[in-house]
Amino acid sequence: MKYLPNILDIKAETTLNLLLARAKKVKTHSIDEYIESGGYKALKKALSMDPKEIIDWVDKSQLRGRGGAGFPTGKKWQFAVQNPPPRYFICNADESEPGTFKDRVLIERDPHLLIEGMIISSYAIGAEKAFIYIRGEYPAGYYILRNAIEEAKSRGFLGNNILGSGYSLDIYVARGGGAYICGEETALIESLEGKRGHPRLKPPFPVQKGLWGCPTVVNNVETICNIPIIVEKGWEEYRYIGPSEYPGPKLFPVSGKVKKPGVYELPMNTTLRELIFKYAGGTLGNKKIKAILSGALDCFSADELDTPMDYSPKGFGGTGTVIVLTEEDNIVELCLKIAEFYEHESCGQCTPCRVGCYEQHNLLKKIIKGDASEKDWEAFVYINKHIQPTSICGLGAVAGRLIRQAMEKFPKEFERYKPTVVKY
Amino acid sequence: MFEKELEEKLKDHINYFPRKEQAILMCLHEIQNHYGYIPKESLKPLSDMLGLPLNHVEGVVAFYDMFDTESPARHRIRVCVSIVCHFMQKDKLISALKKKLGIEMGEVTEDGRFKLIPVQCIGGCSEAPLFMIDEDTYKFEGEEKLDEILAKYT
Ligand SMILES: Cc1cc2nc3c(=O)[nH]c(=O)nc-3n(C[C@H](O)[C@H](O)[C@H](O)COP(=O)(O)O)c2cc1C
Ligand code: SF4
Ligand code: FES
Repeated sequence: MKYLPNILDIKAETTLNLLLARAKKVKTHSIDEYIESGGYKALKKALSMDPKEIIDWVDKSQLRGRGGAGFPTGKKWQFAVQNPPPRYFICNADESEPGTFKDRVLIERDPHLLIEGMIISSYAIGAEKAFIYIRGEYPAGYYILRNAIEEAKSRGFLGNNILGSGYSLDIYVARGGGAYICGEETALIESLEGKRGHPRLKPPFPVQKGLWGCPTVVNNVETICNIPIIVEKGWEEYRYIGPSEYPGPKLFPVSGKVKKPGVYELPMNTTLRELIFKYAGGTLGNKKIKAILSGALDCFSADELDTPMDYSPKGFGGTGTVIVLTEEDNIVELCLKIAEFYEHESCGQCTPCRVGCYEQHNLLKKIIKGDASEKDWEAFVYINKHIQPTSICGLGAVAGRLIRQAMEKFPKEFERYKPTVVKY
Repeated sequence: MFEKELEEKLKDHINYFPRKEQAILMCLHEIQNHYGYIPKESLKPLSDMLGLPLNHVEGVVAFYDMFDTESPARHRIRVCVSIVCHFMQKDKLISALKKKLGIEMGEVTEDGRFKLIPVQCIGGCSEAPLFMIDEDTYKFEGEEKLDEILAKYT
């Protein structure tokens, strides 16, 4: 590659050697290195299979989407192929949830794993054009992917009549412009059409009417990187990775007050405690854990360290993001940062979300200064509860959630900001 | 109209995608890289090239955070002020930058060399606190190292 911006040496460790088999090394793997280590074998196998059979395998593998919602990937593909072509396949590489940097590691270090996954996925759903939408703040990833696509084309893995199979596919890479909301799949599609990233009302879902009104599958980077693994191993063997209900490798980006922050690839029967203490080295200065955040979504207390890192109702779920805060960290200050994030990222389309996120942030600023009256407190609690109804997308639905959980789990932290408490 | 070299780059982006208008964000990045911001006068010729109404292009520019039509700066320093960096001492990084550059967040140095911009999570939180200069991403490793990094951008 002619030019590559400076990138980070993020620590990546794995007990499974699947998603991070190569990406645990801090380097961008070329197509030769990828092929030498067994890459593009799964593509050859997939092209000899019936597309329906691949969808069936992915369904039976019980793979769930790694972009946050945990939706079964095979089911999503089945819905898409019920609708007539042209169909499109989109890789969501917008990764902007605070604390999340797992897709970055895959893109920057093992781009061909993603591309192989995209070719197989596109073949399975019958798409002849596929897109990668990568966040504007990952310019290195953009150049790496553009380069890897050229490499793949030159070997006949992409373009016309792939490996003589009669199947043709082009993959295009598009950059975002710094808007968290464009990670929401319908906002992403709008953005990819050259518009502002305003989420669409669902239904219709993208599998019904997505890009240019055509059936479209949107999958996360990590989800797609599982596809070559499933095809190569077969769904039965894949099901033996990790616990039987939640099979497959999972990436956990761990940051905050731990000794060994980084991305960990582990099976989903790992607990939050094991992830933090066994793998991430425990807390900085061996301080007591106060809270663990799954990005800007959920807040766990130290009593919840036995939470399994899976998609069960009581599991950690989401993107697998783990941010650790310890005893000296202020929970109300955390809530202020969360409120600031949602205010900044609300796209402004729905009034309750736009006004609610603004007011939530505003009132928290007052609270933390100690200037909030009892009325302000009431307004704050009310607004926090009421951002959700009538919001078009998931952002409005969760903008009050972490803060509400924090108030429930750490009431004492909020008490000292209340007007009835005498301040010294 | 654009200078030849920039125009060629914009054309490359536009020809790359199945539909012209998909190239809009790529073109805006390219224009911003070229001029150090997005001059308002560039939007009309861009809208012509993309086959889009001018107000559509204006709406897009206003929507996406990375694009700046106000203040030219040769280099953009984006400092993460999001959750992890906040608790991992982003304030030290910010005060070092402010001191060295003599500006506040959101401002441009007098010589037009740097603009300091607060941003949400830039996706490298294990290395927090983080910042980007143009397309490069860095972690904060003390003031001396910061001097070395800044010196690369003239
Ligand atoms: C506000 C918001 C932001 C999102 N951001 C991302 C993101 O950055 N990356 C991602 O893969 N999914 C993101 N999602 C989820 C996507 O809408 C979509 O569900 C996902 O890309 C589907 O892929 P999967 O089934 O493989 O998980 C976001 C959702 C919401 C509501
Ligand atoms: S809920 Fe918020 S972010 Fe989502 S569409 Fe409405 S205003 Fe935009
Ligand atoms: S919070 Fe600063 S990079 Fe993620």
